[in-house]
Amino acid sequence: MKLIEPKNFFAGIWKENPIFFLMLGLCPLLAVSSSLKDALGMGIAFIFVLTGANITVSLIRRFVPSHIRIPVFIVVIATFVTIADYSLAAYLPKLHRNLGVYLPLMVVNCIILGRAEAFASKNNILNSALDGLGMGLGFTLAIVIIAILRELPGQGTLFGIRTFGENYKPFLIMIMPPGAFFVIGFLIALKNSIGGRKRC
Amino acid sequence: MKKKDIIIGLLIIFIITSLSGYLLAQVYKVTKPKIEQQKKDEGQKLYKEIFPEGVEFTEEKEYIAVYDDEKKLLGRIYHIVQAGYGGPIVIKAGFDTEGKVKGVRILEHSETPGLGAKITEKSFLNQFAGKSGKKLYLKKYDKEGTIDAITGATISSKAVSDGVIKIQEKIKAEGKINETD
Amino acid sequence: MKELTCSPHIHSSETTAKIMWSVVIALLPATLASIYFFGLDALRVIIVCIISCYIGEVVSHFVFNRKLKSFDGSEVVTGLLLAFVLPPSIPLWMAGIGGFLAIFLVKELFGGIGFNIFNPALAARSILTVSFPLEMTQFTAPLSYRVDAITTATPLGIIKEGIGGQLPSLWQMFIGNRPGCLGETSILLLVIGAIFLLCRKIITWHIPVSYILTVVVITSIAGQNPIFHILAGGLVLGAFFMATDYVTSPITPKGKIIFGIGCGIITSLIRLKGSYPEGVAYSVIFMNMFVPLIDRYTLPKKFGAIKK
Repeated sequence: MKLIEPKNFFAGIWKENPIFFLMLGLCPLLAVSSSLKDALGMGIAFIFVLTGANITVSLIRRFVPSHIRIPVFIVVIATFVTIADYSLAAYLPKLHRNLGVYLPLMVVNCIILGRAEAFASKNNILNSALDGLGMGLGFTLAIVIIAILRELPGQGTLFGIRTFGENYKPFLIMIMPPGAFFVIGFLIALKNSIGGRKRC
Repeated sequence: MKKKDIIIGLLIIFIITSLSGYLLAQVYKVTKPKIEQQKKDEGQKLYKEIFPEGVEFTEEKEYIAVYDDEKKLLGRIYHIVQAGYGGPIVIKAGFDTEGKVKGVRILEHSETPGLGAKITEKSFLNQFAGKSGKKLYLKKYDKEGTIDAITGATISSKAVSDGVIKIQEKIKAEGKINETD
Repeated sequence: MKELTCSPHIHSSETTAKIMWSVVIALLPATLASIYFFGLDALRVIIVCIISCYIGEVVSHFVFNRKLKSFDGSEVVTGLLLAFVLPPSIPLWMAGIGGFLAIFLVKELFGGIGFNIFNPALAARSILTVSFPLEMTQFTAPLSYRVDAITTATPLGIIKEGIGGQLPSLWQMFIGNRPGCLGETSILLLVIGAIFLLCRKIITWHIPVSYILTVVVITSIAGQNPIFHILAGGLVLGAFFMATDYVTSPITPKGKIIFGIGCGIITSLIRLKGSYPEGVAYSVIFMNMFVPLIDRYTLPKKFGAIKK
């Protein structure tokens, strides 16, 4: 593979979108998509951790024997997650509180571990960084779309700003857990009907 | 697996964890004062909301003592956890030295959004201010009660009122009120 | 719709449409009673629910690219049952959303009639309860004793909140002159409808009897008046018309009794210990999830199959 390949960046955004095509990492997606603000914060933290972990894993890939790679990956990811956790607590305490347990839970997020294992441990640093950015953006895109589709009907607000006027009766189920499942189910159905379902 | 592989593996994990530990220690050093400051600010802001006249808030064993700028004790802020409709409700309530409620705030709750969750709204909580004794009961439950329950969320409203009443009884039992009447 | 079991099948003249219209006839007395007790409010909610169910059906046929099947009356049944579990004062657009979701989300999305896991009317009611908790828990008093306050508490609500409130007499509750959801109030007329269905052999006694008996036993043990618990709330409506839905209840008699007992236990637990005053809707939906499991363990062995 060449030193740098742009297609690695674009793959994560749509063609191999971790949410809609690979169906990975649904836990933070379902949990923190009830408001656009939190979703955006989660997405940015996610891009940071994924890119950082990908670069680091790619950097050390030649020194790490395969039988200890998983614990090493976890340590690397946990380091980045903890950095993100501390920084958010220090500078954006409100967002930190809203993300709650789902920020530390990124340590065991399957997208991040999956990219470390499937991509970063086999590719050079630049490509791994691109892949991390692309996958992170793909995740952010998905969580932002879902958050818009949940916050708008569920609270009648967007970014905390009223959009439908004072008299709007919020459809509360959308900001509760079932709403997340409804939205992601419909989005995946929509994607399947556009892109055609892969049949095995 | 050969012995050599195990030792090399251990060594690599050791190096990586030490590196990561060092890095985290540095980040921690930078962010720790910030985090503590944030927590303190948040607490002060909350106390100030409950007790606008207070200048100094010092943590005692069971409560937070509120002083004005001349170090005179104005009242106390108590903390109570009360079972609500969807889970525990964490209530902070301030009482002045005469035993009247200064302000009530909800820290945490898991009540129904759009219904019980309205206990955090000022229009509900401000009803408690300046009241004491039986006036703290919900209108529905006591003839002398003056608190209007949130429509459709009697249980959540009652939990808050019960919590405030419990604190009041505790203060009375401990004799922390300067009886004026 | 026919019950699906392993062969041999008996051919009969029953069709889905015939069964559905029988259910509508059985629900008719209670429908009229609800209009009598709650006035035009009730009639409006019923009409909106049925129309929105039809809209849901048409929309889903377009969305899922299915052939537009002949309407078999199941939309009327779903719409009526949904209206029966809504409070009469509910804003009409909410009732409309409920009817649409009952058909589109709960029934058609799972594959259409015969494939839905949950009872459409009850699932739609649950979605509405979660989404609009205020409107779904405000009950208006029947026209005949609407004196001062327009909204009142249901008998179960009075007990749950433990505040003073005039409980209607058992007789009032039996004929249906009490606040509550549209169609759940008139026990007398619901039972008449149920007897009609039992005689037509559209439903069997297993689920309703085991369901109600379980509630009676548990509430008596808990020291409450079991008669009150039968008459208050939606127990009779749920036991005869909701829990017996063909698609979402077990096939064999044994399975039906297990299903009924499960519903009864959950209903009593919610009423006695839960935070909601009424638990019929949630208990039936909850047990709906267990139907495949119950069927799996209660279906008779196939002829010639080797015993394990």
